[in-house]
Amino acid sequence: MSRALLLVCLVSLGCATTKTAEVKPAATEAPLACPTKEPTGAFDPAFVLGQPIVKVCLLGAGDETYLRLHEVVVPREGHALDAISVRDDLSELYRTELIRDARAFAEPTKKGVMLVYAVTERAMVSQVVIEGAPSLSHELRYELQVRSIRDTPSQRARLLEAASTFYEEAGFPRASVEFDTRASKTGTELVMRVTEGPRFVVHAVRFDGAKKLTTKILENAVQTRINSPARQAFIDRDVLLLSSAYFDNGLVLATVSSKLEELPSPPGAVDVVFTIVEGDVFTTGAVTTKGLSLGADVQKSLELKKGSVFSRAVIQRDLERLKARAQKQGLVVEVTPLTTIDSAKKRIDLTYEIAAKPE
Amino acid sequence: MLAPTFWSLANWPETVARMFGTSVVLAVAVAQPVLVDRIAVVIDGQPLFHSAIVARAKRGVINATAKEDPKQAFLRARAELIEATLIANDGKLLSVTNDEVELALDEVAKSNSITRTQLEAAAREQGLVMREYREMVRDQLFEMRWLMVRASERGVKATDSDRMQVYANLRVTLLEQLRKHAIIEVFE
Repeated sequence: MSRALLLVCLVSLGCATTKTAEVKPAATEAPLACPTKEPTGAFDPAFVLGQPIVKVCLLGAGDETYLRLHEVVVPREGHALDAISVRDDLSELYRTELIRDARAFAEPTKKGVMLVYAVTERAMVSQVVIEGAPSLSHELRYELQVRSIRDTPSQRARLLEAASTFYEEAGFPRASVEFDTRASKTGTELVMRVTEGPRFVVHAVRFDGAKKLTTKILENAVQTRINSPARQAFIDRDVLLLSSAYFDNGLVLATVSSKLEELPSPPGAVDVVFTIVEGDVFTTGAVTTKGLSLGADVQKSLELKKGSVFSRAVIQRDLERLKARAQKQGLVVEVTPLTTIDSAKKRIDLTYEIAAKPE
Repeated sequence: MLAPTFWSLANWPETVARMFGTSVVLAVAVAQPVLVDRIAVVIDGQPLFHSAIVARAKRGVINATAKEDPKQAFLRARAELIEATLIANDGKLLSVTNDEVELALDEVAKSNSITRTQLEAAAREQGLVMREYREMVRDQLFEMRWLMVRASERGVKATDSDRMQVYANLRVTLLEQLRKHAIIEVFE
């Protein structure tokens, strides 16, 4: 019975409070104060969206950070609370890189809602410390061990990029870096924990599946060399260079992939293996031009002839020839090579589409 | 006879609702602070918002045949959005046009032997507004395009019979690599 009475009292009190607020003149109301602690509340914005914002607060930032963050929060007092604006504010706060997390709360008041942004500042670190990197050069170690920085994603990305580039170039394709923070006598340290993994050195370069092009041609095409560090960037580029070599020799359906094969000894020795599926040699079919005319004898000037082995490099040279010919006639043109492949006859017809280049 | 819980103070908003109607409950509910939004995940400096994850989780629950636990739905939606962001960042040069989305919707309707109007009605019945449905289709087309480009770059071959499996495996491999190179912060 007493609980029932209490319930009735609570309801009555609520009504009475509302009534009092209505009759009180606004001028006597105390100014709204921002909360001193981060509010807690469930995610349920439907109740508050559309209500007028009476005050915007920012919690969780130190004095210096507060001033900088305050500049990016739009003064939304007087506007209706909407989800997109709140997201924009949170994005802008994050973009400063001064905070690692941000939350937005709406605290109901008599005349609307107080919009409270609670942030978690990114820590300042006294020094970057590198662990487990015996192969790292002294110069780079000195460069990376900076002092008094804020622990931000872009700082970490910069450190990671520098270390990754070094290790990639030095032949440590499996090197990895993990970041951690720890307390020290001088403050918080940002620890770059490096796991170098094996240093891969090229023992041999193999071209598995290559029959129609000689090893000599393929070796000259690639940049990877025996006894040099096995660099993935070079190997990836070599795949493109080998593909190009095949395309220039009529093998337009050739595919090239790469892999590293670790040898049992010596430690770190690897074979760089390019696996090639060559396919058939394609010859050139009809060679024609369309669009802007560059003269009746234009085809005679072209290097790629009907019946010759199809070659992308020769096409590239012919493109330049056509542009130069046009230029002599006072024209600036765009030339697009259009191909039609006849798989059964292993033949490729080629048409150069010539158009005036728009200014 | 009233149930004993009717008088429990722990349930008093509901109790008041029974006595005075739901409007009173709303007034009581808004007296507490409400989380409007928060940064839930950051992927390579790009924030993902709690509200977007909740919206995706609701969409998934609508689509799911079995009832999904809300917490599980949230975790699933968060994982899906992280993947979608990684894919979008990796395929920055790719795009899907409005015409392609409309064409895909036509195809969906055709393969189900219904008209576009019936398809839109079916989507509405599942709780999807057409704008959301279009976005879903756009996301799926984008991911497919991204997979095809990456498959072509890697010389991945697939036949009509194993295409789905080959692409599913490739997706797993590519996402593993993207995760390895991305900086992902999750805030609980």
